[in-house]
Amino acid sequence: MSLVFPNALAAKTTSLALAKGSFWFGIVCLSSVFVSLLAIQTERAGVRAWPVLLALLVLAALGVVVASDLGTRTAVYVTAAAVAFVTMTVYTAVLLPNLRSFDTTDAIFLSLPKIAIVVFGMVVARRFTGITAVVVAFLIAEVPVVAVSLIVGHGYAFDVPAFSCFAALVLIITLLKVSRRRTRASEPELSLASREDRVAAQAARAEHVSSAMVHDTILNELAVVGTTAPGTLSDTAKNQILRSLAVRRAGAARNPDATAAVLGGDLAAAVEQAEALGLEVSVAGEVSAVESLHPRISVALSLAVLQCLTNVAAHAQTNSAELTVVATDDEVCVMVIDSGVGFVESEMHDDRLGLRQSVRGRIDAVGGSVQVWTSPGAGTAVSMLVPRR
Amino acid sequence: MRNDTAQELDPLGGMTARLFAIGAVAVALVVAYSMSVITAAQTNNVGFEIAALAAITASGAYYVRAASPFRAPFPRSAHVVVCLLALAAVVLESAAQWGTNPVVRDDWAPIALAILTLTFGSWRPGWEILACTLFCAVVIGGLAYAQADHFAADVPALVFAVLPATPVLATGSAASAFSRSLVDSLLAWRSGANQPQASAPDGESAPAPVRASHLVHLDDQVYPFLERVAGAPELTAADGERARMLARELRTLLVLDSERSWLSRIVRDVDDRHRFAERMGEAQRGYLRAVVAHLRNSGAFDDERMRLMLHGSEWEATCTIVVPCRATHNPRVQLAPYIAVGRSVFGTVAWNMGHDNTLSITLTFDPDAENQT
Repeated sequence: MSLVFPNALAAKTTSLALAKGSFWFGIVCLSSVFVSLLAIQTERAGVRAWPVLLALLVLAALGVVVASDLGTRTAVYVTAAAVAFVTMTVYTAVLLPNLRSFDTTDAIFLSLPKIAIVVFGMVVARRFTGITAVVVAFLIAEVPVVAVSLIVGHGYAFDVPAFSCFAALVLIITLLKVSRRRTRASEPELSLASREDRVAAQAARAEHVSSAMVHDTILNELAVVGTTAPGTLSDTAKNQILRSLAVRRAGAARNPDATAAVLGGDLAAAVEQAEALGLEVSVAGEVSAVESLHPRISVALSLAVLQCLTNVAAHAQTNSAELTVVATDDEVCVMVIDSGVGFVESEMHDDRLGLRQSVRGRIDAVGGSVQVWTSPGAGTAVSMLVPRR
Repeated sequence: MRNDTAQELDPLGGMTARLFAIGAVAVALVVAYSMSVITAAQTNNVGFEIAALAAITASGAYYVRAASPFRAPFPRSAHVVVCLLALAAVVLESAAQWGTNPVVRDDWAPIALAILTLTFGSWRPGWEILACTLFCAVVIGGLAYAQADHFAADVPALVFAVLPATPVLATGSAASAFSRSLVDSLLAWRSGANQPQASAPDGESAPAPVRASHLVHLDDQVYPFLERVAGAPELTAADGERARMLARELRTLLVLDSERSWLSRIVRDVDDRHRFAERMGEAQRGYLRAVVAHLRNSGAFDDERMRLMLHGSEWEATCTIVVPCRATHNPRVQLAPYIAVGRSVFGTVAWNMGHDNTLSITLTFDPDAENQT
């Protein structure tokens, strides 16, 4: 997810929103005239307002059509424009003789339908980037009114509200592009930073896996070489080194299967290796649940368990540990419990990387969590909770 | 009722909207002052008229101030204040012309209120705009209805109530629909249903992060050593010594790498002893990277002396970026989009330019938020 809305979508979504807003603007204007004329007709029995009311309904229907999916078709909006022109001519011709003699082209009952047609032009303009549709709509609204008014002798007056609406829409379309370019200039940098963070987070996860692997393999091999007396290196030690180098070639972070093939990477192998260190491990619970995990999670969990058992063998001053597996539909929890000397986690030295990287780092990297309960003399329990998928 | 606003979902869009808000306020004030002069003959109480102009001016000024990216997001209270001040202008203008107002159409206050309302779509939820619009329309219509006897036109009183309320009803409905449409699009994008590639500067892609030092050490020193040892017929005393030294170095580098946060990899001088940087969310990390990159690349700051400090408690953490500004630059305009976006991802964002020309940006966040979600 990018931090900010992409510029590529901003223009399109704003056009769509402007079109929807314009549609309701027009409908409200037509409704207002409709209600007013209806009120006049209701109060004055002699006035025959139904032709103008019908014309208003036709204009509203045209608005609905151009705002619908049909309105994106050229034939539809060209036809709608023609019908609007005729309707406006009829509307003006019927209405003007009924108004006061000094009422002319800027009368409110003419202004509001004109404004509605102009804003319906904005609805059509959602397909275009320019102002053509709004200009055409303004002409469709204005020309028949002026023509009819001059013909029936009501003269001409500049319609300030209708022209202001037209000018405002032209200004909005024009300024939107310019202002968007200016105010959204930082969007590429913000989006790039989001991507950088995702790449860095992936790299950090890979690094965690790699660090844990290095702790479990390379550091051991260096310790073996560093503590072996000069002379011939045993075949076992050489094989261990070759195994660790094979883990590197397998790409610990990217390839759990290959890593598992080299290191074992299942719970049985972890228990076997711990027992080779002289630890007696009793296993309980649904061990098979670990096998049903995704290979990436299963390998991480098994290697973390191995590190916990290695820690027990090396530091707990006990020769036994319990391994318990509890599974639910969504998660698998493995606990390694010993009754050894325990420790204070917060007082652990910084270079004790086993619990931090080989256990926490690994389990965190697969979306799991680790909890440690321990205190001096009271043994240690490490709980590793991982998702099933 | 949905309370999402377009500005909260797209803070940069809010910056575009602010230009239109300023334009709308300018137009509304021009309309108000010019029409009050043109219709001066209809005014019987100059005091009320002046108060009405003061109210609409205050409404516009408050609107521009509240829409600033440095105060984002635009709150409901600001919406209410702007509307109430503009509505006060409507009431005061009616009072100024009570009994001497023959034509309702040339009343400037309802028009000015409608112009302001038109631009609310980017700031507030659709339902709220509509509710406010209906309230304003009822007041405007009610006032006109009450004056119906004094108007020159011979039409039913209902017409006098409907027509003056039409501008605000039309612009309010438009702004409400605009808001709903924009929020729908933004939520669809956020849910991933409609995601195009985000823009990136020409030719730029996310650079590869800096490799951890222990990995470099492994490739350069440790692996070649172990390969040689595994292939050699005999182990020498020098090999043993070298293995111990490499193990010490590797252990030290593993510790250092595990101690280094993602933040200390992008800024040299970071004080984050409680590791709050690791508890930021994805959006917060991305934002901080963007701000640091901006401060580094803009040329207005001495980025070599940039410092980041993270402090706080379990409930609230504060990240402060401090960077000296080069004397000739005023960073306010360049910073505006970053402050606006920051306000959508951090609890609070504040900035300050000190007397020593040092810029401080302070961001607060809940360090436990990631665990709560």
